Amino acid sequence: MAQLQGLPVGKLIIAFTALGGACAGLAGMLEVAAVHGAANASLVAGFGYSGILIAFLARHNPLAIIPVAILLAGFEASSGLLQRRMDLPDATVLVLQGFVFIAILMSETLYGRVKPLAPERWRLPDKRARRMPAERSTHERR
Amino acid sequence: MNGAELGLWSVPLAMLAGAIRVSTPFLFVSLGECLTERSGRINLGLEGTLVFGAMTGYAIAYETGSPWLGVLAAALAGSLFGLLHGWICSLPKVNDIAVGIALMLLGMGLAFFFGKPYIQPVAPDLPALNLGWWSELPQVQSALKVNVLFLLGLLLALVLGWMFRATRLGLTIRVVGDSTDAARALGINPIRVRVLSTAAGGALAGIGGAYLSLYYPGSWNEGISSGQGLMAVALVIFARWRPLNCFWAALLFGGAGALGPALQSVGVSQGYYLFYAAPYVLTLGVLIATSSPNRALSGAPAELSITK
Repeated sequence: MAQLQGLPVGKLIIAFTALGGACAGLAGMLEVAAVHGAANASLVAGFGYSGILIAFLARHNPLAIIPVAILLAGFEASSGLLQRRMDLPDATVLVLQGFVFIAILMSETLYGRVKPLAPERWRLPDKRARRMPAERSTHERR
Repeated sequence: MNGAELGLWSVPLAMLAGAIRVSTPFLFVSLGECLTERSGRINLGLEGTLVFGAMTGYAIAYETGSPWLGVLAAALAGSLFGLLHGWICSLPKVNDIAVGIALMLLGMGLAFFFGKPYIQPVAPDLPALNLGWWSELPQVQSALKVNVLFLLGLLLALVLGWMFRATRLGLTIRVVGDSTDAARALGINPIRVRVLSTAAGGALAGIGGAYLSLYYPGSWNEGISSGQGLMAVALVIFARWRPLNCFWAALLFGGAGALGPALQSVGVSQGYYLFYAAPYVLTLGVLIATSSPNRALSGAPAELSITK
């Protein structure tokens, strides 16, 4: 479809993949410069994989990524407290994350099936929807 | 004759030894992934299955004293993970790649959670066959010390290749992987075939994990897997979804991985860390060399979400 419109699909894919890589590289820079202050092997903490899942949970919406990322970071941050207060191993957070991810990804199947949460009800009324009743009223007048 | 007199010949020998020793987990995971992908699903969670299989295998081998029971338990645990992935992905609108990554995190988390008490104790190892008895050289002897699981993996690759080519079961899996509609028209239940293939693939990945913890490196710790489960997914593409090619790809990958340590042992001390990246560079290079912008990947099952 995009090809039919005359867009250079291959070049766009390469350019945006490069941009995505640049964002991930920036995240690594922040991790070294602001959090750890040094680069070593302990940097490998699986943030990349969690990042992919956060993008899925946010339904690929950049604004929704912010709250989801903060929620997941909160899980990570609770690790120390869980270990100290409740004597649980550090893997507890990983298990929790896994269950949360799977539960949310599974609930994708319910999208649009639960009546009170149906997407049509929660959509903001856009211009076309507001014009519709007006048109109907003129129709009724005739 | 000792290592010093062997000179540079020890590099290819060490690579052969490394290929045989390191490739087995790659082989099992890529065979499992091959089976799953031939049925039209991608299970990225095999990394988690591998780590969980390693933990289960080690724990059961330690508790019962029998490494083979450990392998069996790892296969069972792996098939449970496969069943879970297969079932979740059978629900409508669920993305198999995202569920795979989630299961990878869950599998690793559960393995670390339950594996804590087994980091210290020593479990019995799997037996190895000495195929190097004809040689005087200790290097050759140690290179040809082949684990039984490696030979089983080779046999399995041959059997899977034959199954896809010549049996009704293989044909069923291929039909489901190439066209869901055609499978339905033939009266096959595609979801059942996919769930069972994913479960079988998970079992194979679990066996690969048991090899890691029960033979080489032979102990359970949290850094036991260095991404074998994920690389195996790339190896399946590299092998163009053919089981026997998976075997060669795993051998090549294992051999390239042994290049770094081998060069280090003959005294190349500069930049050998770069050679640790050799297998990844090799895989990337071959994938680029065999690709073409004008056609899709040859041999790819048509129902895969990456080719659709």
